[in-house]
Amino acid sequence: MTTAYDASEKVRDEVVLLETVNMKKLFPVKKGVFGRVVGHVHAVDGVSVSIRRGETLGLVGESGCGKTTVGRAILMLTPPSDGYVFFETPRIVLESFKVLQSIRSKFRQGKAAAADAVRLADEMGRLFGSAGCDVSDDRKKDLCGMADKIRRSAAGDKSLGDSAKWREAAPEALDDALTEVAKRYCINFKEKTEMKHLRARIQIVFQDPYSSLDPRFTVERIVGEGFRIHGPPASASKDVKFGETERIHQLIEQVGLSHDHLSRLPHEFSGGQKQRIALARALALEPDFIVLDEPTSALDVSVQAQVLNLLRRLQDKFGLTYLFISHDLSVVEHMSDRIAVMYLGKIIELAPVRELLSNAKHPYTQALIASIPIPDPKFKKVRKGIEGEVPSPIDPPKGCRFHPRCGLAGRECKTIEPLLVDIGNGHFVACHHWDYKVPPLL
Amino acid sequence: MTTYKKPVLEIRGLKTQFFLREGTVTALDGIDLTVYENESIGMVGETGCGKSMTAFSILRLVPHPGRIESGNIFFKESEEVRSRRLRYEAEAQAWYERQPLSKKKEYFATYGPRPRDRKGREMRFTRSEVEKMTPPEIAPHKLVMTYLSLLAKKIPDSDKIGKDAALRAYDLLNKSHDYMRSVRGKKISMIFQDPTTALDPVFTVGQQLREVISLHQGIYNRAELDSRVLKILRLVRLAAPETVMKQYPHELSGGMKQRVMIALALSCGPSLLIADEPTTALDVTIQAQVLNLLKEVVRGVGSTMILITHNLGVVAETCDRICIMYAGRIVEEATAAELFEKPTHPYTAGLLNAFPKLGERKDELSVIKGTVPDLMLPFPGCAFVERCERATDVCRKVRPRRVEVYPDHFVSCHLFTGGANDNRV
Amino acid sequence: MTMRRRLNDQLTRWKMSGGAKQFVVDLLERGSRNAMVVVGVSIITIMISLALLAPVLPIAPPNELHLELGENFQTPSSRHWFGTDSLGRDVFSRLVWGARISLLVGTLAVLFSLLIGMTLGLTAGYFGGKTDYIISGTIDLFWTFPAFLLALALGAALESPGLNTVIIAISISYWAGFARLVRGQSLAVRERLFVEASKALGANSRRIMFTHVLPNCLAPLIVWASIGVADAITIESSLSFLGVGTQPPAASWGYELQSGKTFIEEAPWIAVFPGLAILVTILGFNLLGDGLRDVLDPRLKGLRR
Repeated sequence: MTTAYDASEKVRDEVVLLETVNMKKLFPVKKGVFGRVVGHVHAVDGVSVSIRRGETLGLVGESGCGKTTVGRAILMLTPPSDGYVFFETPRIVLESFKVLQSIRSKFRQGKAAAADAVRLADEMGRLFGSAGCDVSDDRKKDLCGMADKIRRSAAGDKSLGDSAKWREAAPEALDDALTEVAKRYCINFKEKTEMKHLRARIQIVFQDPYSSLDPRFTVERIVGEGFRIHGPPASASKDVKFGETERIHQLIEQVGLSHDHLSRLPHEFSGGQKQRIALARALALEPDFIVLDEPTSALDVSVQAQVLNLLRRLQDKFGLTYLFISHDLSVVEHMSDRIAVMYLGKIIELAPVRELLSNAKHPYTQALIASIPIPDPKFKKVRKGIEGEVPSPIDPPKGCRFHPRCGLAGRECKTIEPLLVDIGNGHFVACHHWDYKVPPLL
Repeated sequence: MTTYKKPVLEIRGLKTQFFLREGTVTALDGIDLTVYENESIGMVGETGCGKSMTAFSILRLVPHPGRIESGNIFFKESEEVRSRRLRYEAEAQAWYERQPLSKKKEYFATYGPRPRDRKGREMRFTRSEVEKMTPPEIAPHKLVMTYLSLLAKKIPDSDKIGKDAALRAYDLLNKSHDYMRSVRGKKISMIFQDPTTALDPVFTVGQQLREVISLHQGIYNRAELDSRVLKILRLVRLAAPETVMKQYPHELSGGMKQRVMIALALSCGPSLLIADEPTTALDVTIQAQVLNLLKEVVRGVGSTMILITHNLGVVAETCDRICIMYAGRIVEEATAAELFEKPTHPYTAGLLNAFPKLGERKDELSVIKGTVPDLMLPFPGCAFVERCERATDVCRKVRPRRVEVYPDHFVSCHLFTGGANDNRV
Repeated sequence: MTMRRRLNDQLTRWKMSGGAKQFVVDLLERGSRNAMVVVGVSIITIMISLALLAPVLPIAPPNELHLELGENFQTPSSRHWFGTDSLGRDVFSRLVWGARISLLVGTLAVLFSLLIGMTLGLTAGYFGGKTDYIISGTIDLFWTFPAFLLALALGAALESPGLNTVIIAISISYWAGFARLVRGQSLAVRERLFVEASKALGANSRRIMFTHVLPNCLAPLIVWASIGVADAITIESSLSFLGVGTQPPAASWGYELQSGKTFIEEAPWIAVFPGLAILVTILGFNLLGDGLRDVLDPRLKGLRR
C-alpha cells in the first residue's frame, strides 16, 4: 500500500483517471406559488481536482460544504450544472483542454488579441494532430483545417476572405473543439447508452448502510444486481460461461462475510456488515474508481477499524482508486494519500497528507485540525472551535468565503476571492494570507 | 478515597429488560454506578451497550416493551440514611452468609433471578432443581432489599427518618409517576442527540423555555418568566437572546439548537444533567464550542453531568471519571487520566487502539475481532469472552466481579480478579 | 409428522429466497397470529368454497321454478334449507349462486382497478414533474366520480345493463384511489438510498420501478384491496337492488333483497338470508383488511402480541 505520496517513486500515469475541471452544482431555490426561482444554492462552486489511478484522495469538510454533492456529481446521480468531469483522459488532452479553456475565457471577456488566435490554432493543431486524442479522424481533419484557417487569417492572410475572419471564426472553432473533447472524454457529456457502460467502472458506497440496501432483497440479489443489469463483467472470459453464483460467492468472501449470509435479508445484519454488503455490490462490476461517501460515519469505532482495513486491502488487491469523503479528519488521514479541504462549495486547501497535517496554511484547515478531540486527557488543550456559524450556501459571503469567521481577515479578503495557488510540495492553498506566520495550534 | 464525596446518584444492580416475542433482551445487566457531586462522569460504549438505556432507566422513561426488572437508584440520599443503609446491607450479607446451605438454596430460588415463560410470568423451580442449585456467596439483591424493608419496619417511630421511608425514601424506582414527573426536568434533566427532533417545531424558543420554568418553578408572571428566560439564554452564550427568544427552532442552526436544549435542561437548576451524545450531530468545529460550554455551565450552576458518548476523545476532554460499558455491563471505571494511561480491561485497550489518531498513521488499524454479542441469549460468563484475546476458561463460565485494581480504578475482568465470581443477582 | 416438517422446510426455503415468496410467507406467518385476519379469512374461504362448489352441491338448481301451489313461499325445511321464494326457487341455492356473482364482481373490479391504478400511480410517483402533474390531474378527475352513481347512470343509460357494466363502472371510479395510494408510497420510496444505489449500478427506470419501488409499496395496497372488494360487493348489491345491476334471472343478492322486500312480513326468509349473506361477506373482507393493516404496520416494533 502506498504509505506516502512521493512523486518520484510513483510512476506518473500517462492517463489521468479522474479530473474535474471547474465543476459546479447549483440547486435552484424556488419560492412562491408558481415556483419562481429566486436564487441558487451554490453547493459546489468550481471544484477542480485530479485523481491518479491507485491513489486515495480524501475530501474533508463540515456539513453543507458540498463534499457529498461532489461525490454524487461525479457519479451523475446529481449531474453537474457546469464544468467537466474527465474520465480516463490522456494528460496531453487535458492540458490542451485547459489551455483552450483559458483562451476561450479571454475571447469571452473580449480581451483576445491576434496572438491568442495563433496560440489557439497551435494548440488545436497539437491536440487534434496527435494520436493521443481519441476523436474520429474526419472530425480531426475538420478541426485542424479550421485551426489552419484561423492561423492564416490572424497572420494577416487576406486571401481567405471575410468568412475566415479570426475574430468570429475562433470562438466558434473553440467551442467545437471543446465540445468534441468533452463528448469523448467527459462523464457529464456522455449519451445515456454510453453512460450505462461507464457506470460499471465508477461506483459508490453510501453513508447510511441502513437505507442503501433494499430491505426486500436478499444479499445474493443485492450483490448480483449489477450482473443482471450489465451481464458478465469485463474480466469474464468469453468462452467460459460466466458463473454468476460463483462470482457472488467470491465477492462475499472477499468482503469478509460467509456463504450462508447470502440468503438473508439486510435487516438481519449489523451496520458494519451492511457496509460490507454494499462494498461487495460496488465491487461486483470491477470498477476502476469508487467514491466512498462517509462509509464509516454511521459505524462504531471498532467496526470502523475493520471496514477501513478491508477497504485498504481491497485497494491493494484490485488496484482501486478511491475518493474518500468524510468529515472526520483522523479517518481521512489514515486512508488518504492526498487531502482536499472544502468550505462552502470550494476547495480551500489541497496537499499530501503529511504536508497538510504538519503544515496547514489555511486558517480553516488549522482550526479543523485543532478542533479534533484527541483521546488523551494529557492534551486537554482548550479547543476553541471557530466563532460563528457556517453561513448558508445560498448567499455565500463575498470575497473569501471564510472571511466572516477568520481571525486573519483583511481588506482584500472581503472583496477578492482567493484562488488556489501552488506553494510547492504539491501543496495548494486558497488564502490571501497563507504565508502569515501563525503559531502552531497542534 | 480520603475525603467524603457526596454522591448525587447511586445505581445499584440495575437491570432493564425488553420482552419481545422473539425473546428477552437484557439491555442492562446489573449496573453499579456512583456519581458524585461536582464530578462529571462519562459513559462510553458502542451501539447497543446500554448507555442510553441507563439514562432512560434513571428517568424511568424506558419504552414499552421494556421494563426495569430490579435494582435501586438512590438519588441525593442524605448522608445519614446512606450510611445506615450501607450498615444494614452489610448486616444482611452477614446474616445470609451465616445461613446453612439448604436455606441459601431456598432463598436463591425465591429471590434470585428466575426465568420467565413465554407470557412473561416468572417460573417456579421444582424441588429437584432447587437441590441442584449453587447459591452464590453474595446474597441476591432482592433478598437484601426484602431484609432491609423488614428491618425498616422495626425502626422505632421516634427515629427522625421514620419506618419504611428510611431505606426506600430515596429510591427513584419506588416513587410514583407524579413524583417522577416533578423530578424530570427539575432535578434530573436530559439533553438528547438530535436537537432538531427534540425541540417542538411549532413553539418558539421563548415559549418552550417559559413552559418549563413555569411548570417547575410555579412562576406565572410573564415579566418574571421572560427575565429568567433571557438569563438562561445568556448563560448558554447565545448571541442576541432577545431575538432568539422569538425564533422558531427551524430558524436556528444546529449548534444554536443544541444550546437551546442545554438552556432548557438547565433552566430549573437540576442537580444532575444527563447528556446523551450531545455533539454527535454537530460539526467538529461547533462540537468544541458546545462541549466547552457544557463543562463551564454545568459547573457554574453546581450540577453534575453524566455524558454519554461513543467518542473517547470527547470524554477525555470533558469528564473527570469515565466508565466503559459493554453489552449492558460496566467493564471499567476510572478517572480520565488513569483510564488512558492504564487501560486494564481488554475491551478498553482494544477501543483505544482502534481509534485512528491524528498524527499517527498506521498501515492497519488494530481491530477487535468479532461482533457485539446478541443480548437475547444469556451468557453466563464475561460478555467479552468471544472477542477477547486473553480469554480463559473461567471467563466463559463465571461473570467477573468488580474489583479495585488500582486506587479508585475499577475493572470487571478475571485477569485481575483471580477468578472470583460475581453472581450478583 | 413428516408432511408438516416438509411443509415447514418448504416455507422456510421460500422465506429465504427473498422477493415475493418471502413476503407472502412472512404475511402468512404474521397473519395467522392475528385474530381478525383469521376470522376474515375463514369467512371468505367459506364463501368462496360455496361459490366454487355451487354446481356440484346437492341443492336444487337456482332457476328451477315451482309455480305449483304450496311450493312457493315454503319456510326453511330439510328439503329447502332456506326456504323458497315467490316463484318456488330454492333460496339457499340462489344464495350460493349469487355468491359467485358477488365475488366475481368484487374481485374482478378490484383487480382491474388495481392494475390500472398501480401502474399509473407508480409512474406518477417515480417520475414526478410533468408526468406526475398530468397523471395526478387525471386521478383527481376520476376521484370525483362516485362509483355508485356512475354505475347507476351507466346502467340507466345502457339498454342492457348487467355484470359487465357493474364491473366497468366500479373499475372506472376505483382505480383513482389505488393510484393515489401507490403514488404517495412511490414518492416516498424513490427517495430512499437503495434506489440511488441501483441507479449508480446502471439500472434503468423500468427496472427500478418494478423491482425496487413497487414491492415496497405493496403493504397498504393489500389492505385497501381487501376493503375494496367489500366495497365493490356492496355496490353491486345496491345496483342489483335497484335493478340496474345484474339482471334476473341471475341470482344476485341484491336482486333477491329487492324481490323479497315485498314479502318481508309473510316470508321474511326470502330477504333476510341474502341480506345476511351480504353482511357476512363484507364483514369478512373488512376484517381481513383491518387485520392485515395491523399485521403490516406495527410489526417493526416487534411487540409481543
